[in-house]
Amino acid sequence: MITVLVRATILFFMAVLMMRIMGKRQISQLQPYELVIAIMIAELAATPMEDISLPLLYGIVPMLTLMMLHSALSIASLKSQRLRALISGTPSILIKKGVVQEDELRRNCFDLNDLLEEVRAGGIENPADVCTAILETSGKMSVFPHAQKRPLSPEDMGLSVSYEGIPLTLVLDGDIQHQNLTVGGLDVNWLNKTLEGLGFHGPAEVFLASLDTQGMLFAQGRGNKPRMKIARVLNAEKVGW
Amino acid sequence: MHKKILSIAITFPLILALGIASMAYTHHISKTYREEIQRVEESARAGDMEGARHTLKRIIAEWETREKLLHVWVPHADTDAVSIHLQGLQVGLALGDTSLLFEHSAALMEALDHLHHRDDLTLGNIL
Repeated sequence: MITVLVRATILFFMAVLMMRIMGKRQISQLQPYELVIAIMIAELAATPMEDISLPLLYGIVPMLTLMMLHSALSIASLKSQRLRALISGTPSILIKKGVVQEDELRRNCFDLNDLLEEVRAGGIENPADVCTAILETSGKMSVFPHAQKRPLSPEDMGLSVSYEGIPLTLVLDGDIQHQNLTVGGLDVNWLNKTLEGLGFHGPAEVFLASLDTQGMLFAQGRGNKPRMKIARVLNAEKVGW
Repeated sequence: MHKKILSIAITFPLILALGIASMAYTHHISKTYREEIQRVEESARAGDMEGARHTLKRIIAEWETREKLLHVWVPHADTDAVSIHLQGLQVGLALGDTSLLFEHSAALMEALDHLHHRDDLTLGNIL
């Protein structure tokens, strides 16, 4: 039984490593060949895991082979558009200038209900509002409304907005995120002083603290009724990330 | 991109080397033991039961150490078949039962062939 435990552990980490090397895409975003490889890796890991009469290499070598093939296909796809089209397929335009393309629907075995479902999932209630719908090679649908129906943007209003980047998480469950402090050009002393200024006795009392690109710090204390503090702690000009 | 090229550059030669090495070693083991068993058979046919027993004892001792290494890439069922027929051969020799001895000897030859059959790069194996 301990053998099974050790083998399962090795194969689990091997499968995780393979998937990590394959990349960060989610299952729904996988290209067809990536989905095939993901399913095969799961199967390959399971067989020698439960059958201890099979050498572990019978699971590991095919997994390594699949990883190698995945890498080779990824590189080939990057290098050649034609090969990429052959391996991953090409996107299909299902709605063009507001007109549903019947032939494309049929070619992709997509019925109107599927199309309307995807349009709704894309946040558009009325199919008449759709200008373009593209079925991507990953199977995901991209839906774009007519220019008249798209949400108003600051640019449409002639407004200029300041830079809005990703907020930095400075404290997570009481732990200081040193890497983010470095990214923000800040240090632990600054963080401690700032938190004290907001009424916290150190980062250990803070459940979550994040600093946005406008220099506003949001801090939430621990407990069921936590203290919530929002304060400007930096000038927006000093924000450099 | 570099990570992917590196993964191919490491994995491909590794699998290839591992495959060739395991194939060569299994072939070598299979061939060596077939010759040894033939020697045991010849001794038994010549009536030298003591000599055959002595050779077989040495073969079994060697096999027990090599079997552990073979388990790394050969399915246990294949190595177990060799062990079982080696023991059968030993029983046949101990009892002086030549029919039992030759029966196990023939089966052992087949089992030794099976050690490398799966590893052979043949169209039959691929298909």
